[in-house]
Amino acid sequence: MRQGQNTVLSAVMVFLAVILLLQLWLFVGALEAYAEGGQIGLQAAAVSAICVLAASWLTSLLK
Amino acid sequence: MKPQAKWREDFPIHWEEDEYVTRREFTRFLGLTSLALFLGTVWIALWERLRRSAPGPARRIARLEELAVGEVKSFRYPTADDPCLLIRISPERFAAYSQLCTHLACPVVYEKEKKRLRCPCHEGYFAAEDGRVLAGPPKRPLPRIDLSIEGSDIWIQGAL
Repeated sequence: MRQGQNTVLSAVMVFLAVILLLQLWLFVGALEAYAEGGQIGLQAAAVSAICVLAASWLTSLLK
Repeated sequence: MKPQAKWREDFPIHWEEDEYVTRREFTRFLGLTSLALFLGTVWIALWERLRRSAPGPARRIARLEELAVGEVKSFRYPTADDPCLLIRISPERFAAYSQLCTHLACPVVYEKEKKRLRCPCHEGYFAAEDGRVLAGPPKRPLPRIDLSIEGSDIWIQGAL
């Protein structure tokens, strides 16, 4: 049972790390596009919103 | 708990326990970081929309006789933080662009002999005729400012 909990916690951490990397990539991309006069901020924010929802769901698994 | 030296009992701070972070706490911290990155991206999106929804007002920026062919006049538009360049390309043709390179926002300079704008930071080049990218890392043309000539005055038409 304890081993199973450890596995779940490790899996949650790995998924969260992947989500964070994706969000960081989106943030930097939006920042660069802003500096270049582009307009991808809204799309980046929408995808980032999905990521934060997924992250909060993963975090809620730990309660 | 490890046995402590006698003097430590008077200062009962146990660093190992104080600085211990459980994996659950760390995972929650990752969740908060995710929220912070989302808020940062939303902030950028809002700035983008604000920039596009507020074109500057029409304004007179120069008189025709102020610039000889190949000369440049710098001005700021629409705000004091937005440097721009007005170039007299030929006796009849004027062009105005944002002075900020579309790569990483370094100010570009006009090269009269080659009729191009050069970004000295990363060697980006733009055509003075229409602002298109000629060479270097920029992928987008320089933002062009619409001009009109009324009498002997050059006017900005209020949009980038």
